[in-house]
Amino acid sequence: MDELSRRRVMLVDDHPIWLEALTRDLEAEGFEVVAVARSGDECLRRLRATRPDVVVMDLKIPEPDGATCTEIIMREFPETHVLVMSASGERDDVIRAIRAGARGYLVKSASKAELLYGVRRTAEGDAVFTPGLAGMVLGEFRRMVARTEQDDDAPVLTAREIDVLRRVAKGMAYREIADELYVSHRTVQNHVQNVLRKLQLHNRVELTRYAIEQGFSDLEA
Amino acid sequence: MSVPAGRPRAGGHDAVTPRPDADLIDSGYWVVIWTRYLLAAHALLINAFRWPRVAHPWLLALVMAVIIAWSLVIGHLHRRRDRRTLLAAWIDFAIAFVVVVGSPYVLGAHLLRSDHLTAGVYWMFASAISLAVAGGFREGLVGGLVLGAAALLVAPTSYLPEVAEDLALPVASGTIGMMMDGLRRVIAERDAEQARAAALAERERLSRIVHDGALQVLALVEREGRLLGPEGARLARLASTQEAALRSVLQDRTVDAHLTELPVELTAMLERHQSDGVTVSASAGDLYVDAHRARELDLAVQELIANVAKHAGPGAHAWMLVEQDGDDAVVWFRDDGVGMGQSQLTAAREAGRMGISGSVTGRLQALGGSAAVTSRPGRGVEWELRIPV
Repeated sequence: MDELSRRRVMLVDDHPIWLEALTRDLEAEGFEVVAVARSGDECLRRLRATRPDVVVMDLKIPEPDGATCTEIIMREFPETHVLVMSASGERDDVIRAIRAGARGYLVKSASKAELLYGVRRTAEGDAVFTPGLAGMVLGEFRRMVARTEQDDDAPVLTAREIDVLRRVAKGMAYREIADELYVSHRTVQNHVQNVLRKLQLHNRVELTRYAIEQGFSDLEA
Repeated sequence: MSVPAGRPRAGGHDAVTPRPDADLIDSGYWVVIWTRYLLAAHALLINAFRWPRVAHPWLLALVMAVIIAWSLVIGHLHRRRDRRTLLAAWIDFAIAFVVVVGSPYVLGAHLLRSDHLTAGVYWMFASAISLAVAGGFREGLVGGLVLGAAALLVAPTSYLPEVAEDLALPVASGTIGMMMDGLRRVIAERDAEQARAAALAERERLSRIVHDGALQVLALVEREGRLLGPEGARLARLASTQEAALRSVLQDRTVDAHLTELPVELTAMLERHQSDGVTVSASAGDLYVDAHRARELDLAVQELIANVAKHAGPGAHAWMLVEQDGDDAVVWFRDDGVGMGQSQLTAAREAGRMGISGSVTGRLQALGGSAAVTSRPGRGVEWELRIPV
């Protein structure tokens, strides 16, 4: 994807001061903020009207919440890049948004530089994999394996993927990880992307299976 | 269960606001009250039949009057939660005991041996059950054994059904006591759980309010302040510390972890160390360990955080990852500070510095776990703490 074509951003957050500040910062960086929304309803309405490339989504917004909005966005406009933000600790919501297809997660206390970097990376299509997210994803895979002991399609991480994820969770930069594992920076990035892909793919498989079980097999397509 | 006057309490529960769970205990008392009335009536009937054969009939009449009067008194006491004291149950027991041991004189030894029924007939059963309901298994068993044994001793018999009858009393009162113990335990646990849920719900509500307001502004000050020169940077630092502190208080799901001895959830406990200089990640949730071991682990982690500030050099950041590995809880703790070489590490170990011997390794070993440390110059220090869960 051409970088210049992914500059149209939408911000979703229920706090006006935060929205204003973030808009200013992103516009200074050359992004075009095409819409802001303060609730889930507003988010979906304005998203359908403006079709942004990137959505920066706070998870705690008035109904429907950020994770639910992410699910709907990814279903309707799968090409949208969503970066979720939260005050941290809302593990279930973060995982739900990531499984639905969000490309990254930042805590709201991240510095301005980290935030802008995160949005830029999201726009470029990279995963924004913070230590907190790496921990949550590791746990999610462990729980999936425990939950579906007999289920053969439950996704499993390779030993290398677990190793990489654990290092990310311990705060190591991709470059440090690459050095220690004697691989390239790109390889580390690929491992991380693969993990996310497995999680999202499994989510789609489960949704389809659920739809079939419920008799709504027309949703399958 | 004896209580000071003016503070109505029963079974550890507030009697002023009756609740459905207290009714369960109530129903135990109702059974006792009616059993006692019926057994008193039963004794009256049986004694009327054998009246002509009794050695001291007027004394027996007096005994029956005491039985009926006391049945009414204790029935009245048992109706009110604040009057159900263990003392009343023991007085009740004493009266029943006197009735049993006085039987040979009142009825005459011959009659007692032929009937194998004391002056109160089966009335003393109610006292043993009373003790079981008011006290529990231990009191029920003691009351039943003493009354049963006394009945057997005042009218020795080798006729098996009669022996079995006396032996059935401690069995019945003991099991009823056991049941009451179980009931009280369940109610206490549920009360504790309800209190915890209420506390969490209130924190949840506060958390929403603070999240929508104060936290957002603090995060903003933290972000924008850094761009406003040294004074702004100072504000940003302050805001950051306060934001982290506030956030960890709001997210703390361990209600009164230090006051009760309930198991503590490790992830929630360690997430409280999240701050400007420490990032906490967790793959594990629901890692419960007992309060003592949680406290010890927490102290070890505090020591590691203090070490980063002391030894890792300016601007060092630390990351913590909480994981579950089979039956172990694992805490990885890593900093990006100056680190040290193998020889320095060995020297530090020998000198007992940096918690390598005492406050970290020793603590973990005492918990049946382990602590391993690795480091390289310029690459920070990494700890792996393990404890069984």
